[in-house]
Amino acid sequence: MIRFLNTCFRPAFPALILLLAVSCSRERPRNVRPCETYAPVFPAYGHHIEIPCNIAPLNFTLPDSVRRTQVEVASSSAARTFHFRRNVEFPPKFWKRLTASARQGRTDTIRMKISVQGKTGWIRYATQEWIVRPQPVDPYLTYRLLPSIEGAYNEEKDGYNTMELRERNLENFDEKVLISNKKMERNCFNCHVSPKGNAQQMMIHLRRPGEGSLHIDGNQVTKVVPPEAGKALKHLPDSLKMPLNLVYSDWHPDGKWVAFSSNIIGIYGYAAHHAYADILDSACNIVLYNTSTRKLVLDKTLWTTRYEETWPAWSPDGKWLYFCRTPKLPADTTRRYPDWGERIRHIRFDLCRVAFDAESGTFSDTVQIVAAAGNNRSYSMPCLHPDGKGLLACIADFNSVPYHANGNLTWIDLERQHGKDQENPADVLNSEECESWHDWSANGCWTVFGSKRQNGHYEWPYIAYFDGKRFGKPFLLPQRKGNFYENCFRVFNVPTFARETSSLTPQKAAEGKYASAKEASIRENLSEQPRSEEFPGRTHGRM
Amino acid sequence: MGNKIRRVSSYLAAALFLCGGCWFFYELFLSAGRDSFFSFQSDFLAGFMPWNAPHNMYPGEKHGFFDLLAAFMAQFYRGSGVAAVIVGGGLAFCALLTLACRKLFRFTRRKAVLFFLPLFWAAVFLAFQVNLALRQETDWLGFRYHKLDRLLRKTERLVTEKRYEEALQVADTYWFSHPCPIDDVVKGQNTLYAGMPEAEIMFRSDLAAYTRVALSGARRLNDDFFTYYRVPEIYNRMDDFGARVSYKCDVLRGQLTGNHVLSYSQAMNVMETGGLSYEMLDKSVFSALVCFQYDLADKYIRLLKGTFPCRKKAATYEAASRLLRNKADVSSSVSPDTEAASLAAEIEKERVKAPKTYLHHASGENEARELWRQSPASLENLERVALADLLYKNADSLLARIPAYLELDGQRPPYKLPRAWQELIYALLQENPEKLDGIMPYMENMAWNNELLKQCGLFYQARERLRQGSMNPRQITQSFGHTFLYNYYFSRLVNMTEAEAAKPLAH
Repeated sequence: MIRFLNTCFRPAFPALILLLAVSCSRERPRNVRPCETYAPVFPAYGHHIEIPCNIAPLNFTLPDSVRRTQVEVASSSAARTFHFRRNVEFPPKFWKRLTASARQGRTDTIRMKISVQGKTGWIRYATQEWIVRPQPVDPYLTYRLLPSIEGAYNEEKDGYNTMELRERNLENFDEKVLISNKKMERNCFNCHVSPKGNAQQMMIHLRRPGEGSLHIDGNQVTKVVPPEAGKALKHLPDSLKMPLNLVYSDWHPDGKWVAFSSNIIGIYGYAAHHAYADILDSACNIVLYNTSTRKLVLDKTLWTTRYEETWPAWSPDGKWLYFCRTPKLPADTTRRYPDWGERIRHIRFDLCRVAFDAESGTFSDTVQIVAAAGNNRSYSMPCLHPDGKGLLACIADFNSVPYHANGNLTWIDLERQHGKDQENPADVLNSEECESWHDWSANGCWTVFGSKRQNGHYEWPYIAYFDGKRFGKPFLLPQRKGNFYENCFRVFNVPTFARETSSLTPQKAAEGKYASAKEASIRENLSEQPRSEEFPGRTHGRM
Repeated sequence: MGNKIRRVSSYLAAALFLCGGCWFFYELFLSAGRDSFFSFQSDFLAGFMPWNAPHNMYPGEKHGFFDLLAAFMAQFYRGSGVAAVIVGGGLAFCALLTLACRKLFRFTRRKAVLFFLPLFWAAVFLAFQVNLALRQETDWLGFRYHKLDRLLRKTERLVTEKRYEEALQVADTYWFSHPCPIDDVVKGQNTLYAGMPEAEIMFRSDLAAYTRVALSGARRLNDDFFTYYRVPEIYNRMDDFGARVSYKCDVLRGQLTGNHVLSYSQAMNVMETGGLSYEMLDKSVFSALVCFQYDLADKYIRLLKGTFPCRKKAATYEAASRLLRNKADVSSSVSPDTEAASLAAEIEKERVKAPKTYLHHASGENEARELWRQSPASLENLERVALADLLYKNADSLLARIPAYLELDGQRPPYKLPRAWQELIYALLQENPEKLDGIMPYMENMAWNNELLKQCGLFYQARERLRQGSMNPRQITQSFGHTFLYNYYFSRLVNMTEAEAAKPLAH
């Protein structure tokens, strides 16, 4: 054997050494021409982005024409010069040294001088600075990884295209699959929700086939289905007969209650270049689910035929439920606007809230309007800041699901009213494309949201700093490979932070799906009489 | 010295063999983790250079060795023995060749091994390349496809290449050589499915969809649509809604009708199923540029640059994209890159035709009407919407379209109308001539097809005999089932109502 290896490698050894030496030689930049602009890096991690101290290295790539790259990177705790081709990928150990100062509690700055060798020689771009904040971001991010919305359902596969719920470790690049529809008859599953970033507990709704909601509690996975799922509840009076589906949800801080919206999700093909598909939810109401007694509560305040109520979100103290609401369209709307594309433009949601008593599981009769809908202003997806002083919501021209190019994020301060002409702090997060599906880290310093800003088509997760008053420039979730997003055909949908890793696996989820479903019972607290509405609450930007 | 060279070269050959083998099996295992065996061709064998191959269709997808092995074996179990045939066939061929050489040229054993190993991998590589090139046309290595699939793939290929007449000729070999029994037609169209294997029903709906696109592309939609009279009822609808039809057909139809949002979004669905493909990327880039989606086009152009067949076209797209983005006057640009300028001009032209919105989950008729409403300058859309009128037996609406048709077609007297339209006018002349008052000026200068007139006359005679009971339905179906008049008088409306079509896809 030794003789064989000796015969094999001995003659080739000097050549191998020479080859290694040649390949490892680094060409130093010569005749460098300075350039006043910043390097055209992708993802566009621009000047003065603010990053958490515990984030994984922000790797990036440069244009195809770049042959070699020299990156001089320095912070107060480390400095080094790197040579790459066009993909800049920092060693994780060095990155930890680079951010060590911020980890110790001081805001630090990473300075980066990028020089590239293109066809015309070396160019040195302006030095860009990244601010490293000492506040850490939650270490995990959970998201649905799926094809772009048009490619979601595939009739050739007779089911949905590959759709996975994945958990990514933000401190490095580790990623694991929590749920995969490959193991579940290729069905669709929608928004996952956990109580306050506790990934050990989760609710996720599975669509057909095998419709139901998975309740994950540590290693235990239970499938819950509402009675007569998807059908109008027969025993209710005619005026309140509406189907019961569990769709968008939020977990009460005490972990006992989950507020669900009950909608019929209608997906319409509709596009004006930028808007690919529209979702028009109908028969929207909000129901409560008690996780311990497996009981669904239909309350007269939120199960109404006068309004469409959706997007429930709890305040951090659990005393208020925020939601979006719009009056049902008048009966003659279909006659006035026979084209649904036209009809949908007249649906605008207010942002409301109602007091909640967690002990009895009942809502107050009084609904307060927090922010009123107006011309080209419809609210959706409220998400309360952990300190309860404000919330981030989506604002779009119309409808409850901001799939349009004009879907933007808006910050609503619940303590102070914004001036009409005052710039919204969340404007820095917005682009010409759609921004939505946002979440807060546990310390309230970081927000994550999905944005289609790169190409108007693929929604990818951005993270931004928040100091209580203003947001920092957002940055795209870093990946191990610098050119990851160039070749990425997937949408990162519903990104949510988690403080700990989930023990869920695709196998467990599939077992939960196929296990016998537990039917939730219903507790009703309904009233047929239309109530008089009071609107004593503050209003923001009422028209 | 000679010995040393021989020894080094033998080691090199062995290393080459090992590397080739490792690469081949790596790719093979990689493919097994994906949905389709052939999807691994998406990187190298379907046109991507391995170093540029994007593996991110399913980013970060990891499989254990045994997962991959199981999936790979499952591919074989499902009847996809192509790899086995290629490897086994290549092995056998090379072994025979080596033995022959050993006999003929008196090779030593060492020489024979040296000769055999690289030859084997070269043969495997070549076999995959040839398979790639010919798969769509002949599928001579694809044992898993039966004859119907071969026919479908050939039609698909021809429609993709816009060789519509040839596509129709290929499709006709099926439509007219495998007629449905007349008795089933007479009994009712639903019975045409009775006893038919599911695969064949699917095949028929797919082929019908491609045939429709080919007819539309060849501008024969209103002439020959009813010629295919014995196909299942799905074919007598304009759309593919509800049928499991290849998304590729949607891509092609979208490009033909100017519905480019549909085209590039369905191209993604095609790639989801079959892996990345330069053809679909090519079409996506074109459609994205038409829809002003420059950033999206740039993403796909980058990928297209990494392919063998389209790398030059990608450069042209890139230049055209820049021209369009800079809003250069494309029509008068005297650019040295004439290819890019002409491509940009083509995209500009297509933009005029492209509608501002698209309706995907709508019925074919509604889609046609909406497209026509938004792009009244498109002759293809006019023909599609006119066909919807014919299928709905909506004579007034069709007659109102005649002036627009003649204008768009640039016709001068004598006017030549499509066959089905002439049949409708003939029917109205017989039964309701006052309806034709609006088109009298055109009627006076119309060039009738004499053969068609004769056939219409015979149809009315046969219809009269049917009324009198001297002819049975079977005979009239056999003789006139391929005419519009037969469908006008005897076929049911099989399409869904507008209310049904407007219903959202709830889930």
